[in-house]
Amino acid sequence: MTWTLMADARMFSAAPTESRAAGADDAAVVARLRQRDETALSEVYDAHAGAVYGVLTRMLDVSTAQEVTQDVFLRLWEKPGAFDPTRAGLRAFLLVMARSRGLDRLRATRATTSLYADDGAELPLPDARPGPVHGAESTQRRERIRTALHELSPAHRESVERAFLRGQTREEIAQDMDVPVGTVKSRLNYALKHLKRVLGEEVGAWLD
Amino acid sequence: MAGLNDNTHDRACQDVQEQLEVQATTGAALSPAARAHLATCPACQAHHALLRDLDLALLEDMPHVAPPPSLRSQLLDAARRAPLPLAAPRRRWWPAALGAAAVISGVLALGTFLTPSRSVAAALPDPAVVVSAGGPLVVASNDHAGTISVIRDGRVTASVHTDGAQTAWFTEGVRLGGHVFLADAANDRVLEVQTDPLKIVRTYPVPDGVAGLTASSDASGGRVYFKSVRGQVGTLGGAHVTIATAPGMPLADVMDGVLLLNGTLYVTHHLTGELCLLDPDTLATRARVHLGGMPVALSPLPGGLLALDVTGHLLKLDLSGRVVQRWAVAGHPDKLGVNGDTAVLSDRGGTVTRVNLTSGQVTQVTLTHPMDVVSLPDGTFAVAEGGRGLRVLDGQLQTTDTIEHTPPTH
Repeated sequence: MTWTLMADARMFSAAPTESRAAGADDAAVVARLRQRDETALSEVYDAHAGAVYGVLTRMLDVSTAQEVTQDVFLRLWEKPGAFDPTRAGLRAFLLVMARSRGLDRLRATRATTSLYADDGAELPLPDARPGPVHGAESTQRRERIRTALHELSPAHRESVERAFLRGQTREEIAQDMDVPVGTVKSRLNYALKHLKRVLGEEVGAWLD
Repeated sequence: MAGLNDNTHDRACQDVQEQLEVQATTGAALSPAARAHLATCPACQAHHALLRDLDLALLEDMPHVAPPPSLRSQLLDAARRAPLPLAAPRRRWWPAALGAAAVISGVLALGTFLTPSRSVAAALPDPAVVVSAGGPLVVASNDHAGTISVIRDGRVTASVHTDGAQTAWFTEGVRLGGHVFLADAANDRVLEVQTDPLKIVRTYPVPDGVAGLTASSDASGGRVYFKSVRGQVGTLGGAHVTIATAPGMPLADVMDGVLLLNGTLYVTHHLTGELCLLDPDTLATRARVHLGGMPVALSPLPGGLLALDVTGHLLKLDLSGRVVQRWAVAGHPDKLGVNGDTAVLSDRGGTVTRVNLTSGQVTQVTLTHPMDVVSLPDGTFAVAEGGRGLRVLDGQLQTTDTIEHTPPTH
């Protein structure tokens, strides 16, 4: 398998007003989904299918990625109430669901547990702090994380993607990258500390 | 002592953060001790938040890839077929538009539009499935009681009610000796019914619902094969295998054909347009053939078989599954009966189509809601006509007999 690293960072920074507008748009289109408005489903698909399919083709073969892509949007059509616009944007919701379902497919042969509930219940955004301001802060934080990821060496970045996007164990990563498990652990450890440093959350110990 | 406590706490943090990373990659659950620690430790909570944000950052950072254009139309088609969120019971039937048709049929049931019948039957419930049981016919109804009736000599001679948690939704029936097996899609089960005297002798749960049935008997006894909605194939009460999966797909409006013929078990998976050829004993897949369209019913022919594609084609296949002839038919026929060189297809949208397999001639008649069709030993066809009753057609689609549905009185 060829593992192509991301070279083009698509940075974006959502101002609070933009975030609020996006949230309102998401809420409006999902309200139309609740009314079984097929054009709303078309709009959501046109806006987000590329992102969803992009993630899934990174994880799965093309045929399975297409199946899961359809499944993700169909889930939204069937259960629009599962999306809570106060917790996350619609794209984030769909991407998390796509990854969850993609991992389920990958894990079908690994006999491990599901990372997320079907409806993306464990969406990686806290629901105790709702509101568009927090959404914008969270967006900016993720932007800093993306910047930090691109500061890593290709080997570190690949290790992170394999672990946290594709759900590979350290042993699997070691085998695929042909390095000792200890090296994988070191790379992941270094990468996470780098992220913490960029976010201003580093602890003194790792700098020693 | 303070130093010792700090060291202990640091070790605990290290362990919990490692568990959090494993959880993020493999989904493994945290230990109770780790959960307790996480609830009170700001450093580990920050690590947890970092992992969650990293997850989303990676997702958002992936390059966009345009899906194939066909995926959009497939999604919208599937959405149209998906059940309404509050619909109950779940009904797996094709096409979804017939949900409206069912309402219409309920209205029509109050009228008497049938031509006067030669055979006067007592209390025939609104028929959904008809099975030829040698001499008698067995008719299953999706009425409130899920009534199963036996018809002999043009009249109902016995009936029995079923006891599903949901109102029954019978989709198919097959005969094995003196018993008939009826698929109740609303209750995810198959009922084994003895015809004389009429009684339900056994219920077979089929998780996720039944998409297709076929029966066979040999020296070792009888077997009924099923295909589940999600893609399992097996024998009732016996082993099963998975030939396809449709995880997360809306599984409403699904049906498939199952046929045991010449030592091969043929099963359609209409979602992919495939025909699977299985070993009937081991259930091992011998071959997969891509037919295209949406094949939903199968029927044997000398030296081959017929496959009905609900998108509007009838296919003649050889025993390897290769298409040797194809006829286009109007509408969305989903049931198939064959007598000699005559195939009769029923489409609940309101038509019955006859295909002469020799000449290729295709003719149609309009009926109310033909729910099912079965070939009878005398060369005729019995049609379960929703809202009307049972209609017998000859090979030219001329009505030779009718048994009126008797609406319930209140």
